[in-house]
Amino acid sequence: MPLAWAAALLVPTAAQAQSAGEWPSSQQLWRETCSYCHNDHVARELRGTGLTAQAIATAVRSGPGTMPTFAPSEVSDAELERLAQWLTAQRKPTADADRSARTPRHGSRERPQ
Amino acid sequence: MSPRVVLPAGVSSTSFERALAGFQRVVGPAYVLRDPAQLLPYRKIMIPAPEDEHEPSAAVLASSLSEVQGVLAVCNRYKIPIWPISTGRNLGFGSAAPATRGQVILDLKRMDRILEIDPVLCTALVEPGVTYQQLHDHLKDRSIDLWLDFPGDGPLVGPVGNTLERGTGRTAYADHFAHACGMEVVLADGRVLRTGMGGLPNGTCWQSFRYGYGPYLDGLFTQSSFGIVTKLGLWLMPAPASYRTLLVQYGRDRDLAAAVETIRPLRLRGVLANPCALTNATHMLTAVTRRAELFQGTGPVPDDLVLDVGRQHGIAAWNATFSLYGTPEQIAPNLDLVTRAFQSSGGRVSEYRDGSQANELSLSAFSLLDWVGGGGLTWLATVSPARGTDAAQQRDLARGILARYGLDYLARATVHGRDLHHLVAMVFDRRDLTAMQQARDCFRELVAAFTDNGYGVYRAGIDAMDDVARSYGDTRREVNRALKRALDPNGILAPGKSGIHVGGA
Repeated sequence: MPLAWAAALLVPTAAQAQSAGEWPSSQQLWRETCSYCHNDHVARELRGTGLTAQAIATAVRSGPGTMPTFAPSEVSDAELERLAQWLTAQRKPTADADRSARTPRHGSRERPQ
Repeated sequence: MSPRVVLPAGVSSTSFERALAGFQRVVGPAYVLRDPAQLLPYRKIMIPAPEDEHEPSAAVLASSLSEVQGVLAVCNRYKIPIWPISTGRNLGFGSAAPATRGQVILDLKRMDRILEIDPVLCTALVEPGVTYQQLHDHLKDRSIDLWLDFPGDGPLVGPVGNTLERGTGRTAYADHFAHACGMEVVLADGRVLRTGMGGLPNGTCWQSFRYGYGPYLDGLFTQSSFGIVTKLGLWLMPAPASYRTLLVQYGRDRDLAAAVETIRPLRLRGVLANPCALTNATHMLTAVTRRAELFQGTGPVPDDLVLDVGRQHGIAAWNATFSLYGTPEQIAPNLDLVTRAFQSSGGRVSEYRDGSQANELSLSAFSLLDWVGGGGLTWLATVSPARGTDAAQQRDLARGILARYGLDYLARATVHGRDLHHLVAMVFDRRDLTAMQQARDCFRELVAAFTDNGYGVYRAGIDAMDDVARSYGDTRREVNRALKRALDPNGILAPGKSGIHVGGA
């Protein structure tokens, strides 16, 4: 086998993405959780809409309508406060920016070719 | 204290308070949740049952094996039933809620370490709280070229929870339990069992050889309540050199049988590497529109309207997708073979994009829920032999019963090999109590009808577990009860899961 593979044998790691409920950044939390749905396809865009921390906390914990819930073990109360501040600071995406942001991994409502 | 207290069955409020104090000593006060407001995330369900029937009494957020053992000691002392969850997103099967009212949620999300990745043997060892997103990022950040296989809610769920439910995905590694290797399980009495090759102190094969020696115990801990899995080994697919995803479309509903007859031999002969999913037109339409935009009447959306609107969106009566993986030289002959086979059966073949068959995480599947809105979803998951006649019978049975309750038939029939998994999504408005009761009645009738016709349910929600368990006969239930009594005599682990109880005749 190539030397590079032999050297890469068994990568032990105790890595965790974040401590319970804590995220490296609100941007990462947004990108890896919320934006999968909140992209004006599955659910409405939230960036730049001035949502309060209270509104976000209520929605995240109780899951209105078809939205799933998120327990504090996944997103802490402090993280939700930070997310609210980050969301308010974001500009509402323009149509062009939004179109280019719809990367395949967000799986927008693509129909067969 | 909140005036509204939910208690586990048979537990006094004094014992419950003592147990909560015991939990706090194990995990710390911040990680014991008992206020109803704090329990909202664990309470919400999509299945057609009132939340009260499955309301948890508290939640304990454990972060390590020793904390799990500490929690179990408290549970055994005070006879507290606990319902372990990883991400708690068994959506359409009960989400995070317990099978019976009053159980304490044991939330293992804090146990989120990726313990080992072996890029040569293509394996991983993970804890219950690891999500597919986390694992995906971890591999990508380290340029480890291994793919994941995940269900429709991939980013929000994890391999441990999904594998233990015997969930499936879309690639060649779709059967998640078949690609799990080695578990660490905490038994109800706190002892730690390592399955497969894991018992050897200096073992080298825990994640490479599944069976170990003697009885293969891993299956006991899937869809069951015999132990708490705290580590799970996974086999990961080496990223293919290339892949082609195809869409095969059939214009008529009755073409389903021919499609299944074409796919099965291709799967059994290894031409198609991944299970082939056949999605019907109405189900496909949920990705591009909502029911109310299409049809304002009652009852299912008429077939001709579905097909008409479907045509406008490039959707046919049945839409099969699959991928071919390998080098271009490997793919080319198989591509030719499958194209000719599908065309001979009346299918139209074209190139397609489906990220879920190519390691791309997405939540586009959630658009299904907006078909009706209102947060109601329950899955009818039944299995049949992979024969066209059986697929057609399942379709007709489901469609007929759903129509009588005014519900659309949203179906995905996946040919795995010798088996066809018929997954029907029942979506309804939970805010409308009449609609919810209708959905509940419809589901019960579906389960009874499918069982009577020999098409058993292979995965059930918390509101259907007892019924489905009964359908597999008394001996199965007695054996499960005997195992339960041996491994969990106090009945503290997930009572009612898969219809397994310590008590009863």
